[in-house]
Amino acid sequence: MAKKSKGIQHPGYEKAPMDRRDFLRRAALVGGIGGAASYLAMAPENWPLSMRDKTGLLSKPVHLPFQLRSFQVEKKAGSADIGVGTEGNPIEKLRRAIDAIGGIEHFIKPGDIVLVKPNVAFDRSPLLGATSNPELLEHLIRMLLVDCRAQEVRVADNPIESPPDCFEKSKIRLATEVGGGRVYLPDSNSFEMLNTPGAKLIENWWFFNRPFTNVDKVIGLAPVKDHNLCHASMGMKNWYGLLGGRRNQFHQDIHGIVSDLSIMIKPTFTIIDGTNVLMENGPTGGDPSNVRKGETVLAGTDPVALDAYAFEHLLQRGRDYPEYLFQAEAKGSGKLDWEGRVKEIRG
Amino acid sequence: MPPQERVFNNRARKVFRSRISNGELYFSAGFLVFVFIMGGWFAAQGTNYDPTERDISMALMESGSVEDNLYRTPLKLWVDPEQTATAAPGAAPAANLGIFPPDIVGNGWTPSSRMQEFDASNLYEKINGQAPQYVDFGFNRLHYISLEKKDAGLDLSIEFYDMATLPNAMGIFGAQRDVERPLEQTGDAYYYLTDLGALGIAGPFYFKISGNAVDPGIIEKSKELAESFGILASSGNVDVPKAFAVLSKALKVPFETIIYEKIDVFQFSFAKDFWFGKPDVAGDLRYYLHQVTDTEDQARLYADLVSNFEADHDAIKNDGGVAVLKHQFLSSFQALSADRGWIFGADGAPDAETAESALSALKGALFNGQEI
Amino acid sequence: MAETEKKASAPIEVRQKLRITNVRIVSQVFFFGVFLFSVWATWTTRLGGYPVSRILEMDPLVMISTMLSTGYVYRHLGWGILIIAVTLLFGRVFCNWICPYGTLHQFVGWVFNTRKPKERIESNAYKNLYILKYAILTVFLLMAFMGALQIGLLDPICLMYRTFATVVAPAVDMGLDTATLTANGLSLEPKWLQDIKFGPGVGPRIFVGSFWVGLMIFALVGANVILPRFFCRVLCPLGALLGVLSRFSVFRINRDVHKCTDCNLCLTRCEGAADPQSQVRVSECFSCMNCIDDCPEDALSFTAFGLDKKQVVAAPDMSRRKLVFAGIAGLMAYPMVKNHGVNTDENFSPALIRPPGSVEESNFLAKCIKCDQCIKSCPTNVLQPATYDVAGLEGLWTPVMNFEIGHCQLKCTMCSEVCPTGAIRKITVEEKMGKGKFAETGPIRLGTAFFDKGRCLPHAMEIPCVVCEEVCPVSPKAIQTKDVEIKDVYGNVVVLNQPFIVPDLCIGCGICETECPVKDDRAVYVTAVGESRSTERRLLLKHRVQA
Repeated sequence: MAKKSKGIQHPGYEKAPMDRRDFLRRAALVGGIGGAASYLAMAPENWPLSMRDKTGLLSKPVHLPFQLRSFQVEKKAGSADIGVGTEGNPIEKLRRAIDAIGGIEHFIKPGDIVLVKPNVAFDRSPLLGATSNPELLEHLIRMLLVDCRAQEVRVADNPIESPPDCFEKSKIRLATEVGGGRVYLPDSNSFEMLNTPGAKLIENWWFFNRPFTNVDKVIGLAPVKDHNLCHASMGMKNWYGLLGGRRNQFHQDIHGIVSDLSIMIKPTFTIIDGTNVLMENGPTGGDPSNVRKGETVLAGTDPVALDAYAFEHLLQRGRDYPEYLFQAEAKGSGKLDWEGRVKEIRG
Repeated sequence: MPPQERVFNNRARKVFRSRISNGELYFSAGFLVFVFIMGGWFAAQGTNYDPTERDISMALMESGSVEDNLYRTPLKLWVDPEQTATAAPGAAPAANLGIFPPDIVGNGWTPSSRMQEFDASNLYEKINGQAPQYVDFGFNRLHYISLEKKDAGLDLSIEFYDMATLPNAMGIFGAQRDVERPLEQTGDAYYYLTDLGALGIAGPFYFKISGNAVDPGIIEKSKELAESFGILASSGNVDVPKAFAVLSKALKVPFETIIYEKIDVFQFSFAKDFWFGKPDVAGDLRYYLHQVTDTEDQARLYADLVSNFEADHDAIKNDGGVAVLKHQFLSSFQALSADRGWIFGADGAPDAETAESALSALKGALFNGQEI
Repeated sequence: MAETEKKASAPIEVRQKLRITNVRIVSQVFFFGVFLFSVWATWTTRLGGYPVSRILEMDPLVMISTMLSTGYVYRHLGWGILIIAVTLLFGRVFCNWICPYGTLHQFVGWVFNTRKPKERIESNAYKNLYILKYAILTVFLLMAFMGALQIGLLDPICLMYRTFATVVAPAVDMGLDTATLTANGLSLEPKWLQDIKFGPGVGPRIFVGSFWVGLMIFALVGANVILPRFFCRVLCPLGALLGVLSRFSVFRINRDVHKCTDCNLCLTRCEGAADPQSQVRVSECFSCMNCIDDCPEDALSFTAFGLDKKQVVAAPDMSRRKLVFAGIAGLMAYPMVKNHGVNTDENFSPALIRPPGSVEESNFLAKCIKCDQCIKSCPTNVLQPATYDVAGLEGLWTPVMNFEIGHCQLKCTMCSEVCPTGAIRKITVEEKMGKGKFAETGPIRLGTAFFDKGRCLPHAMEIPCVVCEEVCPVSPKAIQTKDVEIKDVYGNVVVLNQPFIVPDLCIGCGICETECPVKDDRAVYVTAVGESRSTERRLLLKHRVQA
């Protein structure tokens, strides 16, 4: 920090004049960079490499939607659309119900990757009827892995309450791991934009897609629950658990969203778990007195008819069907009239 | 240029001391073992807990189960302000009962839902799978309401199908009827009782009453309802064909034998809209009658009928607008006539006299004793 | 001597490897690992029986200060005696052998230490500034004695847990999520991801005001570059407490004055700035043993024997005058903090909703050490470090429930399980739900839900909704509906289920508020009034107050 005196040149001062070549080189550099920068910034939007965004809309983030394929398989000749199992323990009921719609080997081929969607919406003990029966799930996974030689079974849901806790308290995680499957929990990366043509509310919506990677077959495992707003939460409403985003808005048109769900996903088949039917105070339940011990397990390939049958026989609410079933029928997801399409295997 | 600036410490650890004592060595070895044991202890704690503290047992939930004794306000229905205006001041606004007679409520019974109406385009919302059947029979409109009697814990729903015409109603009734159960009549209503309610017709209306329990109260109410529907049907506000009234009221023909044929009556393409009825269920004698419409010529129609009948009948008598014919193979007799806009007759009679007396009974009933 | 050693045991390489400074590093790595494991295991699916708060419970400052503020020693806090005993034997070994915060400071200080040897010696010389920690300790203990527990602000263990819960864990998870998303594209996440994340299976976790928590640790750790072990030497109240205790310690660094050549090399890596080159300041010495390694003359040893009283300074360099000043500051601080009046029974924020099992508020403030273990354990992210406006100066960074972010799960008692001091008393699900032997007291109520009918869709806008009723977890539901049929403004007859609260049944879990679609200022919201832990903040006369 030598003190500088006025008018006296610093002893270390050295003159370094620029020669012509140097000047030209620098001028070319400035011109080149400046020109390129001006092109990128100012060229019309449709020119190649132009970065211009005249309206400010181009820079809007884009979520490219994907479409979900149908997971349905062709109906086996001679089998019913709805299978009912009422005899034996829950596991036998499950097997009978599936056998009535064609048997599980008909639906799942060796080497398939199967995703099972139980309802794990709340951190409740399974006996309270708010979540799927873990015993059925465990056995279903065994059937898939052993009988059908499926390659992999995944279990996924996006619950309302904390996902790890819900899977833990509802014993679904334990059942999955004992059975040989793997639980996929939703985290911030799990959701992608799903395009469902024809849907009224969720034409483009966040969908819990990560576990669906390379999946061949999808099975719903839904409990039957009372629901104040849409009257009943059954097989179709179960798919609500695959939505992400601000899904609590959908209660403003609950029948619209539930019927949209029926076209959003076309499962291979759906199992309705009537072992613990939540008759009132749904869909959370919370008291054993709300639960009716059911004797029935249903399986079906027609989601509309299956829900209608469950509404009538498991919730025991007669034929005053919730409106979403009619809407789903109108959207072509199935036929509501289940009569003559039900088969029960006994003995 | 300044010397290269360092970011990280580049000096290795060095030991300057020359002596490491046994005590230090033993302590070090001992300490490492101690650390290992601590680690093991910590890891072992993972399973050392009481899982019941993290959840509540079902037994406890069941014993602590609370009764849901909340009062839940029933659904408050929307009421048209115009109706409220006409109601007596201070009185509770009457529920809109639509087509239903007002006496369906009262005596403890109150509407538990709003009256709903469905037409052919949305009928499936109410009854889904069966809707096409109704539409095939000429369905016009469904009026639906449910009633409840709170103190008795009863409720029932009324499906009141406006089938546009009585024949349509009879058609759907015939298709859905349980023939095992006895038919009852009140006014212009014909119905039978089921365990949970009633099914029947009243004029052009086909009604289904279904209750929530096998209970005498439901049956009682079903009867009352059928009665008021019968009054509704005969009140003149609704259209009951005269031919049906003649058969069922004047001639007391049992309801089950009354049949309406719309086209191709007697397999004649020109004969349309005939009513049939048998005075005796077991017998063969059968009345038939037809009201001549504006587009038809009474004399011409009568002549066509008689001449076509003669293809397999022998005419015994044919004069003055009355013809008596005998079937060539069945040996049964029929008589027919045309008068004042009506074509009427009786067939299946065992002899000519019976046929003629049936004809005159029919005529008497038709014209109510005038000119006999 | 050398002969016997050679005969007795291991060769010099083994001795070098097993020297005490290496073992110290093993110990530090071990305890840092235990700390990291504890933070990782503080999660609903992992907790099991791991004593994840044990490092906090061993902290003698936590034990002593809560003992002063409440008169009792809660649950596992007696473990603090272990560290006191160790200190009485070996001095402040906690600081350089166990304390994970000390390890972090030492590590950062070591990694970024580019000082030349001479500067190193200078940076480790004792400074008068280092007595500040004793003043801080005096102030905190006096305040605790009067009932205001503030040690959590600077206690290194609390600070460490708090920072990891609210800053490090979410940052690590965010990084892992971003990295695995980029690496795997749109395919399945790798299996190990759920195993290593701090909060697996949930969306991004946010913590209100955690920036300041992060800034604090960033500044304190960063200060090592300027002054080695700045926090430990200058601010740490726990270090101060252990310093006071260590004057009685049996073992300490001893300097053989006959061998010492006054080369000052022992200061090169002296962590505590304890003057090993002259009279060792026992209260400052962290027992890091670096000086022993650095002494070319073998003049330094860690031993109980041959104590030369003249060669050590046992007590902190805290004059009576300074002590009195610190005492006055502590005495003044108590009424100033208390009368600040943001969090009293007369004036408390409606957002001051404490987790289930919390004791009555003044007692809570006498127990909570702001370690935020509860916040780490909370599976729904509802527990948040309280900001100044909600809990006042006194309650800064204590846990409060923010129902905009999450809700209190009916059958979760995780926070009460990990709380080391009993600010959140250990409860069972049975007690939380008021079943079994707790039936008479009823469930634990956190607050009461209210409706803002001017914002509620069915009440104000003729639009069906009732998400709140759907999710209400109690049976029978505390949110019921009045069903009305109305003709809306477009002439359509719509059925509206208009929700209302049954305050008798409401437990204040806040799921209605969390799920309410009126996203910014919820149409149903829970406020603190009605909480069952306090008569002062009770709403309904008939509700019992928790034990």
